[in-house]
Amino acid sequence: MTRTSSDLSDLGRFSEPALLILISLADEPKHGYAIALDIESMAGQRLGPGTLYGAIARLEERGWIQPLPAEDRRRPYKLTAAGQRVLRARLDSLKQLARIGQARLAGA
Amino acid sequence: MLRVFLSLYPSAWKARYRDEVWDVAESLGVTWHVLCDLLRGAVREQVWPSVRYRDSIGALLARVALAYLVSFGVAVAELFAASAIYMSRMPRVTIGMDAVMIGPVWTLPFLVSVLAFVCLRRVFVGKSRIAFVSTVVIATSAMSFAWIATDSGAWSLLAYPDALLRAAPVLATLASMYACQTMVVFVILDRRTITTSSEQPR
Repeated sequence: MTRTSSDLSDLGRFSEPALLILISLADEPKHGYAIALDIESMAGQRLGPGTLYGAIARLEERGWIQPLPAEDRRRPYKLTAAGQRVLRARLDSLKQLARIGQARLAGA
Repeated sequence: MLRVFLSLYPSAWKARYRDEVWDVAESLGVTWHVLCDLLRGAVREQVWPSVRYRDSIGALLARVALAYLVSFGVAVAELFAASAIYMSRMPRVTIGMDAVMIGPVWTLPFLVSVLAFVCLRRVFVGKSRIAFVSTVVIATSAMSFAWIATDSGAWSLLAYPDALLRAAPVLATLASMYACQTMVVFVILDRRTITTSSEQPR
C-alpha cells in the first residue's frame, strides 16, 4: 500500500535527499551504493547509509521508486511513472524559483 | 560495530533493508560519520518510521507492559547509583533515600510515556499530523504531571532557582540515562515482540 501524497516536501527533512535520489534514478535503475556515488559526483554531497535508506524507504512507500530483483546484497531501484511526475513537478518549481532569483539578482 | 548500529533499527525495517544498508556502509567505508548517520537514522526510524507498521492493540499493550516491568528494575538500580554518586555533592537538593524511593515512581511514567509515544506513533503514522501532535501532548503531559505530583523535590526546585541550577547536571545525567535506557528497552522489546506480533513491513 502506498501513501497518497504528491509532493516531495511531505518528506520533511528527507525531501532534499529524496530529490537527489529521484534525479539519480531518472536515467537508469541503480542500487544504493551507485546512487550514493552518483549523488556525490552530481551534487558534491555524500549521503550516509542511514539518510540514503531513510529516503529510499519513504520513496518506495509512496510508490515513487520501485525495487527490482536483488543482485546478491544489492537491490536496484527504478523510477516509477508517479516518481517521474513528482520529479518533473519539483524540477519545474525549482526552475521557476531559479529564474525569479536570477532576475532579481540581475536587477539589483 | 556495524551490526550493533544496524540492530537499533526496527525489526520490520531490518528485514527489508538491512543487507542493502550493510552493503552501502561497507562500500562507503565504516567511519564515524557513517556510524553517526546510522544512529540518527535508527532513532528517526524508531520514532518516525518510514514503513507503515500494523500493530495490534494487544501487541501494543504487551510492549508497554513489558517496558514497564523491565524499566522498573533498571530504574531502581540507576537511582541507587545516582544517589551514591551525587548525595555528597548536592547539599540543598536531597537525592538520598527519598529520591531512591520516589525516583522510580516518576521514572516509570516517563518511560511509559516515551514508549507509549513511540508505539502510538507507529499506529498513527501516515494518518494525520493531529494524531502525531496529540500523542506528543499526551505523553509530555503525563510525564510532567507524574513528576510534579509524585516528586516533592520538583516543588523545591521550582521555588529555588539556584537549587535548580545546581541540580541541572544531575537532572541532565538522569535524563540521559533514562533516554538511553528507553532506547535499549525499546530495541529489546522490538526484537522480542515484533516478530511474533502482527507487525509486518508494508
